[in-house]
Amino acid sequence: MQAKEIVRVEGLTRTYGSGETAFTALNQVSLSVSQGEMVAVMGPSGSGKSTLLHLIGGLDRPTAGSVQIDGALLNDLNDKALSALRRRRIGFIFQTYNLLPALTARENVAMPLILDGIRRSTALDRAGEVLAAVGLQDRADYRPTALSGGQQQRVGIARALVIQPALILADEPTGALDSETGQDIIRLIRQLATRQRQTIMLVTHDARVAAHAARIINLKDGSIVDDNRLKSRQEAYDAVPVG
Amino acid sequence: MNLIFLAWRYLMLRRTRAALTLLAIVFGVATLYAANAMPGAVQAAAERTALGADGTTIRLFQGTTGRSEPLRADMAAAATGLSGIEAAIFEPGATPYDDVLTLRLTSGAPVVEVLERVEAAIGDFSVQGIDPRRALLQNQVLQALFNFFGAVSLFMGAFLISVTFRTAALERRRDLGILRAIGAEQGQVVRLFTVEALLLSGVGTAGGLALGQGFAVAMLNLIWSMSFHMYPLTGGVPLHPPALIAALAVGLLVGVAAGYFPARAAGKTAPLDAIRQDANDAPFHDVTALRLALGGIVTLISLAILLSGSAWSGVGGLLLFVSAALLSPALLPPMARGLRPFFARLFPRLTDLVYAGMLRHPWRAATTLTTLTIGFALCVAVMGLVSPVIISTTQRVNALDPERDLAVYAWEHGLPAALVEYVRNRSEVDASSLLYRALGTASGQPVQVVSIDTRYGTRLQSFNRLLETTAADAAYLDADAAAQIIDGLADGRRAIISLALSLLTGAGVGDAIALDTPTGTQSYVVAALISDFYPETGDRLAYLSEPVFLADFSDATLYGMHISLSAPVYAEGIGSQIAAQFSTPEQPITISDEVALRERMIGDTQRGMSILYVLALMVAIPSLLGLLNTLAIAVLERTREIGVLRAVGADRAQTRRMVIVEALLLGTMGLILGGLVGVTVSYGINASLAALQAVDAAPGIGVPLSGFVILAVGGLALSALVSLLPARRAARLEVVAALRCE
Ligand SMILES: Nc1ncnc2c1ncn2[C@@H]1O[C@H](COP(=O)(O)OP(=O)(O)OP(=O)(O)O)[C@@H](O)[C@H]1O
Ligand SMILES: [Mg+2]
Repeated sequence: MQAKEIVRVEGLTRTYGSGETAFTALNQVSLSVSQGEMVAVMGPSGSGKSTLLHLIGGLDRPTAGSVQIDGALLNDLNDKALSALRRRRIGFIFQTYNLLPALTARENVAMPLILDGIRRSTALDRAGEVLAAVGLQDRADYRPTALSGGQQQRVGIARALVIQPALILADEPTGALDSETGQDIIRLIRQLATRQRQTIMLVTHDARVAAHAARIINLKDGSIVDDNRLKSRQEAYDAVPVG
Repeated sequence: MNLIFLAWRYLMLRRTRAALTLLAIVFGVATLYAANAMPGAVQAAAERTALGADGTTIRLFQGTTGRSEPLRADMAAAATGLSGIEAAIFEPGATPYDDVLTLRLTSGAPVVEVLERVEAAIGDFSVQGIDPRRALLQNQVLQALFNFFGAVSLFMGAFLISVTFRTAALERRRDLGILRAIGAEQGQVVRLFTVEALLLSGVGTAGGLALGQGFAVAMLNLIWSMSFHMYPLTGGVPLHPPALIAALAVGLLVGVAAGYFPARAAGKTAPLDAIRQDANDAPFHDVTALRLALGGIVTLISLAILLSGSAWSGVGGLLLFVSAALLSPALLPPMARGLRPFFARLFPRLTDLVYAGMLRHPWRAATTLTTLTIGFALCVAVMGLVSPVIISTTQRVNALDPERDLAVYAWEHGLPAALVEYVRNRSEVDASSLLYRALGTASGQPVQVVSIDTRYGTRLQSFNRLLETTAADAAYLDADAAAQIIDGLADGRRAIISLALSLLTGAGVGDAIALDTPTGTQSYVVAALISDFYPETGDRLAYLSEPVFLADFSDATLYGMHISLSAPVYAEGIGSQIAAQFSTPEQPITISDEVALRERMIGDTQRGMSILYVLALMVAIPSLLGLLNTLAIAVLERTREIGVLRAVGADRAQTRRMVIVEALLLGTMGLILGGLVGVTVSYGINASLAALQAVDAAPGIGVPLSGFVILAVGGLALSALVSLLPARRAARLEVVAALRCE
């Protein structure tokens, strides 16, 4: 049976600025991701990885092209529907954490649920469980400023996972972590994801992280230069460009 | 709602900021309420006073202008037909000098309107006592000033509140972006902000109303406590519904709107843009050509109004404040550049940092500049309004002839007999008379009864002056007439009575009035009416000749003595000798001589004018609060930046000085701009007051140089003072903690 298509991107283009200063960060990108796939997006700095993820996550509007998530064309959605999609179907892990400084770790994690109208106490309980899963149970009531970079990153991951999203978009989720912890986190994400047949797209510079993915997309100057579906972990290691 | 906890969390997390916002709202609303509530109370009191205890009977005399005709019997007929008039009676020879036309108004008739109707029907006339038309005109001038302050404070309050909320909202763009990124809808984001704004502006408005009512009560009590413009105004301090509604509307609506719109704008941008955007840089695109053009046009219109010297100058002044607010973002950079060499010399090491910080957030600096400009401009404008009045009063008082008279009073306890003896034995004393008082009753009401020593008649000049000034108001007693009446007072039981007593008993000149005395009820013929307002004696007054008084009132108190000296030079010396010998803290004796009189007149004027200063301060205080607010926010916002600076070697003292220098720079610019605006506004208002002939002020700048100096020194000192708290906060930051801050 053909796996369900979760992400479908066609001719996606994003141009920043206009006129002489216009800069095309993403140029005519098309791709498709099926349910349960884990895709690593790689490429040099400035190649458009974050831009791609932001567009897929509905955080930014494309200059041209289209994004479909689970059959829904983002371009067609009004704000209400798009917001609902973000808080129910997509878990976004930011490169720069983006936690709310006013809230504790637990409240940050509970926020998408609260926004969705789930009772606060229920939401906070669920948040506590996910925080425990990422190993932060004893930091649950700290504010982000009192957490280390890696700890903040894990709060961000917990916030993305708490809604049990169909699609997890992770922008360098391990960038701030030592490679051991990074491995743990990726394993954790994978473990949680495979149980629910969640789809993962993650951006990374780290070959050991990318090695978890069965498919690696390489971006350069805003275009896909190659897209490898791999059969084994060894193949994955080999597919990662060195340096 | 689920999000209330988030709103609450934000308030608690940024307690300092929330407190500052709250303060801004409290002061904005308080000023607004007080400035708008007072005029109503003053107006009501002025009307009551102008009309006496009961405004239904008004006596008219021939007018004093060149075109006035003598009153005639047919005028009574003409007046009778007018609406609001129950009866009009012509009384030929009602006083020795004049015919009188007495109007009885239907109860509740609007007096000023009725008088205007009468004037249209019969021509010019003058009114016995205080002319309600004139009283209200003077009051209208006061009213216009109050309204001006009310409008300025409305503008200031709205500005302050909207700026504070806007800053808060802009600052949180990033948080809003994050919320949107994890799935919050636009509506939720907007609601979150509106709830927070509502919490703050609700509490702030309530506090502001309470404080405003306190302000109003204090100010009105100040007004009541002095004989303002010769009318002793009294009255309660009621809640003023229109002011209440205005303050509520501004406090709540402006607060909520200022929270709502930026939140909506933030909600509309893509989440990513909101996260990325530097909160403070974005809105500065606001200095558009449109804004400049609008500012230019408003400036031109306001200057045209101000320089035309019309009654609309208050509006022109207000418009100038608005254009200052519109143009200040555009004016700030060139002004700052102009001041740069000066500051670079004073603070060589800090100037670059301060300028970089300030010009990186020009929008915030511009709002501070606007609030400071308005505050300083008001102070300058008030100086420009007040000092000409004080100067002209002082000149008039000093031009008075030196007097030979001296009065000694001890209203409560009475004069000691030894004092009387002492005075009579002094060789410089030419003549003296004793003043007695006692309480009588007329129509069941207490009446203050006072004796006049008729033997000295007009030789006692200070007493005559009392009669003259009151006579001038009564419009028919000149000095000779006063002398004649006083001479005739001992001719049987005759009395000079106050208007209030006349209104109480219905007795006019020539009528008999019945007074209950310790020796039984006696009847007195009314010889003259005088105005009521002689502060020491109260409203219902009857003057009797000394022999008649002593015969009828056995329980009299000797409350005063009028002394006439052989040469004016002695007055002051004798007065102070009497005070030294006989005045004690328990039984004080008031000496009223030329010097004291002058001092009292000037003091009265100054006290009266001080109300305007208090009003100006009421509006200026929030502007300093605005400075405090922006500086505090600047420090909070720049926490990270300050951390970086400290990390690369700035010490605590430098950090502190950096904030203080920024405050001084903003204060200097505010003083320059505020000085220009204030001088223009006061010139315009003075010109129109002169055109209205409302007060004896000449058109001109009117702000004394010393006033500028005081304001400049005080303004800079206060700016620096206000900056101390945020400066200390900045200096105390720990480097690592600051660097961690988002
Ligand atoms: N708001 C913006 N305005 C202008 N240019 C932008 C903007 N955001 C990104 N860019 C440019 O678009 C290009 C792609 O940016 P993007 O963040 O997608 O890169 P990236 O592949 O994620 O890089 P990195 O690995 O360093 O995170 C970069 O050259 C960047 O300078
Ligand atoms: Mg990136």
